[in-house]
Amino acid sequence: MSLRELTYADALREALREEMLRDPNVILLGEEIGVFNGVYKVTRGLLDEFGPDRVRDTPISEAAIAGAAVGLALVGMRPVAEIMYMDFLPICMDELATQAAKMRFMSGGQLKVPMVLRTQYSLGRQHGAQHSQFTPAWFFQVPGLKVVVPATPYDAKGLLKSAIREPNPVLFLEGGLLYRTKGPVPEEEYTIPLGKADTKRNGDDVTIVGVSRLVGEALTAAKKLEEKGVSAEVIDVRTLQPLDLKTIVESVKRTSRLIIASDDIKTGGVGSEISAAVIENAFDYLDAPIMRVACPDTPIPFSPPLEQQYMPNADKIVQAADQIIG
Amino acid sequence: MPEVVMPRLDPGMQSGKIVEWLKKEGEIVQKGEPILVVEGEKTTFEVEAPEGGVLTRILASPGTDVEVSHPVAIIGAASTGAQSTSAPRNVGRAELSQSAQTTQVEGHETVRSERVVASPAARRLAQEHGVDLTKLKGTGPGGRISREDVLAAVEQVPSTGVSSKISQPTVLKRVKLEGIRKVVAERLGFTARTAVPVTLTMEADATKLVELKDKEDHVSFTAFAVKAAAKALETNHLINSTIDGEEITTYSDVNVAVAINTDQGLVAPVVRNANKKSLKEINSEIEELSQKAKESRLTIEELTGGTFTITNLGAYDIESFAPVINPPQCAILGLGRIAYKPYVVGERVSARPATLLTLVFDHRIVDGVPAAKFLRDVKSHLEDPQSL
Repeated sequence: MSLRELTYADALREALREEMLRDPNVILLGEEIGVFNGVYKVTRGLLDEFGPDRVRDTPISEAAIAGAAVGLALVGMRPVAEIMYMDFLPICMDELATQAAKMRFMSGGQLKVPMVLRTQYSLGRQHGAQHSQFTPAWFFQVPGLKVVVPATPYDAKGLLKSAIREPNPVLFLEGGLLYRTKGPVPEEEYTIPLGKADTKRNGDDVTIVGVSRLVGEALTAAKKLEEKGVSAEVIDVRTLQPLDLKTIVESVKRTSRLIIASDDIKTGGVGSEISAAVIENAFDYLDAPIMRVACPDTPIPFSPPLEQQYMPNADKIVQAADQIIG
Repeated sequence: MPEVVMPRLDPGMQSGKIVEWLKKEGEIVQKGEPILVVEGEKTTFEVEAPEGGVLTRILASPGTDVEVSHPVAIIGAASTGAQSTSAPRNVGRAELSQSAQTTQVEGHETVRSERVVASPAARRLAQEHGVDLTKLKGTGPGGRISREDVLAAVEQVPSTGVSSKISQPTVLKRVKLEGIRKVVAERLGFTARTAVPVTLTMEADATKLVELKDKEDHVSFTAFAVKAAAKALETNHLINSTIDGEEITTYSDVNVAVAINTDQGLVAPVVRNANKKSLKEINSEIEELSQKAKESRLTIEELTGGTFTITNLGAYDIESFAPVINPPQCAILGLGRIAYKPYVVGERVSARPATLLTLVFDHRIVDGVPAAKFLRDVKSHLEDPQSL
């Protein structure tokens, strides 16, 4: 494997390009993805390479983008639609939750919806309450919808390729703050199966489950904890639906303590669901309350200092660990 | 407000297990009314309310072990209803519904049975390793007993030197040491640690005994042995003693305890003044005590006050055995089976029914010769059962 490093955005772009080369049914659609090369440059150069039939700029209508993607998928294409901000997903909710997620089930398997809806959340970029939210819990409780949350360039590429090949609708949630982060991405072809978490660091005293951007923060926290003599295991969920509960439970059975770090709202969030599932499956192994490091229950502040206060980070993960480790 | 405390039923009792509450919190109770059932070390008994009033608070739920003289409930004044849990001023003593003698309850602490704060992992490990969480001090946040606390406690227990990674035998079940089993373990363990046991064995010719037993229908060999031993104890006073620390007490009453096996474990009810009772009286008393033991109906009275013990494993084809002394008594007689054995008369060998008598005595109390004399007396009485 080569030691080549790519940004998260470029890794995604490679995945799109490789899948478009591999399968002529793969087409892209979304706002400003063509001529403008994408707001975050994920689709840079793809219009030039594949032409307007396969890279389609759309009007500013998220409902239309999602609806078109569902229709394209139903007639055998493999659309990859982009929604500029995750905050706009409620506009697509009917297409996603009511149509895409249920077609295969309701048709007894006669219909398939092999679509990917890519979007990103911009918490930490001072985009304000309407352009910063991370709301995976709104979607991961929709049966029939897969929810992917890559945290590294390597995972972003491998997971996106799997998502495109997946015969069911996939919501692909990218971290806005992650686009410019760099990491090793091999030149060779590889995919990462949906539904498999990745243990990014081994430890004995506490398990930290990270979601998206907070996987990196969890690794930073683990280093700080190590200085205190606490050995932290960091698990990247990689997909929220399906959730690799087995990996998490096995880790908790060893460490007896669990922290879930996610950029969503604490109440009814990802951490709540994982916490409940772990209690159901590993109650007798817990040595401390399960802690959720997440956003407070208020709209996201625009003010940069306030937003910094608001956001979960490595220090808050360390604080949570301090609370549960005597 | 009066507290109901765990009464001490005999000097050896350390704790009692709450079996059930006969009254609920908030119910009005009369003075002397039974309010809960407790399983002591030897029997179950009802505890009565020391005062009338409202059963304000139950401090120990069924299944929990409560140390003697620790509070199990609070009774408040009937008119004031539910009370706060402020420290009680007057301490009432629970009365026993049985006529058993009770020892004065000494000063007690107002310790409440509170829920142990321990993590689920700690609870699981404690269960697996048989660790008592109430005895641990938690080092986790807020004093919570953690996984590490339990593991540390487990490590303090002397290990067998076998790594836990080596596969251990599959466990069929684990049973908490409690009730009769706990008493048996504690009492016999105590004897093993303190007494200086010496074993004497003697064969007794049982020819006449077997003949008489056939005539005296329904009289058991145990009853004969009780009578024989009781008679021998009349003249061998020192064997009829108990030891308590620095003091040896010798008794004029001859109270022979008889070991009886029950589903719950071993008990040893007492045939009082066995030396003054007829063989038939002794026999029927043993039968009655056995029946009660099997039904767990033995009273404290029936279970205490023994000065000597007899145990008979003859029915299980045991030839002879050295039993453990029943503390604080001086000696115990173990009976083996009666079987035909070669017997030499002159130059001829004939077969005769015989049995082996085994006396285990505490050398702290008595020396070998007096003990041997006693055993010889027992043998003489058994070989001449008509005299009994």
